[in-house]
Amino acid sequence: MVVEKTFTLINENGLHARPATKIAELVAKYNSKVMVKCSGTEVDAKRVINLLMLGAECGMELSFRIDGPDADALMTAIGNLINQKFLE
Amino acid sequence: MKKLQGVPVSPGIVVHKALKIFSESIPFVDRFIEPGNVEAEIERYKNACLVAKEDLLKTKDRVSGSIGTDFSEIFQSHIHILTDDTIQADTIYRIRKKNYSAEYAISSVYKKYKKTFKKMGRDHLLAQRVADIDDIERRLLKILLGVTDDISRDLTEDAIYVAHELRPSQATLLSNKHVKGIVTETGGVTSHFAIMIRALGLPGIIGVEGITKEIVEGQTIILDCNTGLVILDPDEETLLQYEKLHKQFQLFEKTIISQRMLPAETIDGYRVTLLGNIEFPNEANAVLQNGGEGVGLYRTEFLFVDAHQLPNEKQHLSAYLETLKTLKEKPFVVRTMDLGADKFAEVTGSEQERNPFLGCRSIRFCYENPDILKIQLRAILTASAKASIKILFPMISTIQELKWSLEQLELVKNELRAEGVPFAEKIPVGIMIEVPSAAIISNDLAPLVDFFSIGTNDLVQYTLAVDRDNKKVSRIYSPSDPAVLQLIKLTIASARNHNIPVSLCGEIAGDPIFIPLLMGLGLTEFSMNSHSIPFVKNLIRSMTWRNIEEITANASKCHSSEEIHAVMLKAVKKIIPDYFSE
Repeated sequence: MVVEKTFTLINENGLHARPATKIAELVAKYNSKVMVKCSGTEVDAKRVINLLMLGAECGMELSFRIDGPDADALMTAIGNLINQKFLE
Repeated sequence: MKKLQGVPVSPGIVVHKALKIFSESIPFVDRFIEPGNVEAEIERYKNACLVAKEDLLKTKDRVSGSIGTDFSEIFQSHIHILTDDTIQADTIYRIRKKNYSAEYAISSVYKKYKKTFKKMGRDHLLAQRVADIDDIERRLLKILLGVTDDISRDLTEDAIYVAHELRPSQATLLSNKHVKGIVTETGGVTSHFAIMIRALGLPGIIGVEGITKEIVEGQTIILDCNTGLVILDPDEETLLQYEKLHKQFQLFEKTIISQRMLPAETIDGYRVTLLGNIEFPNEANAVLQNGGEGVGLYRTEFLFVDAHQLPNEKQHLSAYLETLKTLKEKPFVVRTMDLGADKFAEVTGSEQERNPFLGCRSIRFCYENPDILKIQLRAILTASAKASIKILFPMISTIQELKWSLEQLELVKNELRAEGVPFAEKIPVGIMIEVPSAAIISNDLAPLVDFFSIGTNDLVQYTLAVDRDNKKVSRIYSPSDPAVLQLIKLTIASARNHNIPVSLCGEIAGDPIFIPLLMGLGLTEFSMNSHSIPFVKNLIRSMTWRNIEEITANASKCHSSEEIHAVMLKAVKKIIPDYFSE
């Protein structure tokens, strides 16, 4: 199953090291493949360094494409994480 | 004796010997290895990664115990980057195919990533990413080269530690008991490091240009973290003065901190309201912790920090709701955007101005770009459905400007009504009185608004026509100038005439020297930086209405700012001697 959804980053410091780590660790817990796109660049969301390379700042959009058996649940979890500002 | 100025990150005064922390680059040669040693070199690299990971796990535990999990999480990020498959494969490839030494391979791979970050841009957030990569690289190189510069191990003497810059990996140093203060040459107030210093309440000053060059190892230095002043090699007199000050201040601080939650009233029961100024939603908590009764000025400029992209309604709203969550029903005043056009040249295509302070800034900039104001007003109104919140328009200088601003508010209200979005119909609206013309016509402005807020910083600058950052004229900049005080009086009289409240939110609201006179002129509400609240409260609780009347009467006989300042200083020194340095 493939699920696609776009979220806006609302935490003040954007996708810096700690939020990127939280996303990567969340993705690692599931069995789906996650690609994330930001201003034209698409990367594998399992790697912190990749997420950092997106240079995503507050207010920018992240488009996720999740492919796998638990795609729905993972998308919800990612959305919660982003909308709760990564619980920073 | 030499004085240097920096940016204070947490209050306090310390006098100590200075020791330098060395964190210069680690020297190594771009070395090639013999093809026969490739496998051994790869082993060396893998081994260094394992050791580094162990180190990181240990540091993470230590920091999470001593500073908090918020800060220890950064080491988890470092572990991820360190053990990243692609980075490791790339490094091994360089050793195997190009015969690079492990050190050379590591630094060439990391360099590639740092370059990409630097290319992306401009701001401190990216600089932080580069600093993270740097930190991981250094950790690996140190292990490979056998260099031990775990600084916290070397700190065996009580001292103020001086460094060019500090890295996240050096965070453990902050919980070392020998560290009595920190000074750095670089660093922003919002860097990881500054935040940690503040969280620990360690005296610290950052951004002190030239400090690492000027400092002599073992020399005595003074950190006045209340003002950001660093004094190197102080003379006998200065030293004595600060040592005494340090002791007094500690005692005094203890007393006033313990009394910060008591009401702000004089000995004879005359009560005023003390509020806090904030720039970030999470600062609202500090206001309450310091005994403030609410937020009298929320400067929303931080929402606009990214000059390339204006904030959307959602971002505004989430900032306001976050603040409201902390404040509940306590006073909360949001000032609409107060920046100059120069900040947005890229987005709005505005031209460079010859005279930005007299140009298109603040409400005038909104007049040119009404959507920026409307988006913000929509968010404030939407938030007003949840809890009480007030709107404050900055830099109003004419009645037309005020009427235009109120019209925009009505337009937005109509929009929301049409959309069925709930909001507080009677949301209070106030204006900043910070341009002399507004003070002069305040009697005409008052019937149109629900409150005034006097902004003395700009009022002083515009009344005396002086730029306080221009050293040649900054002596003229004085909030105790009779002309400024006349305008304050006029504003208070107009507010009384029309029965609306008036508060004061400039820097002097947090300066105990000014409080009695301002109270004597009729002000009952002050909004200041949260760390000033306990000090101002202490003064108020130490005086009587009689003191206030006396100071006001004496000041009214004076004809210059110097005389007025002297009157206030003399009287306030008598009331709270411990607050002052002599």
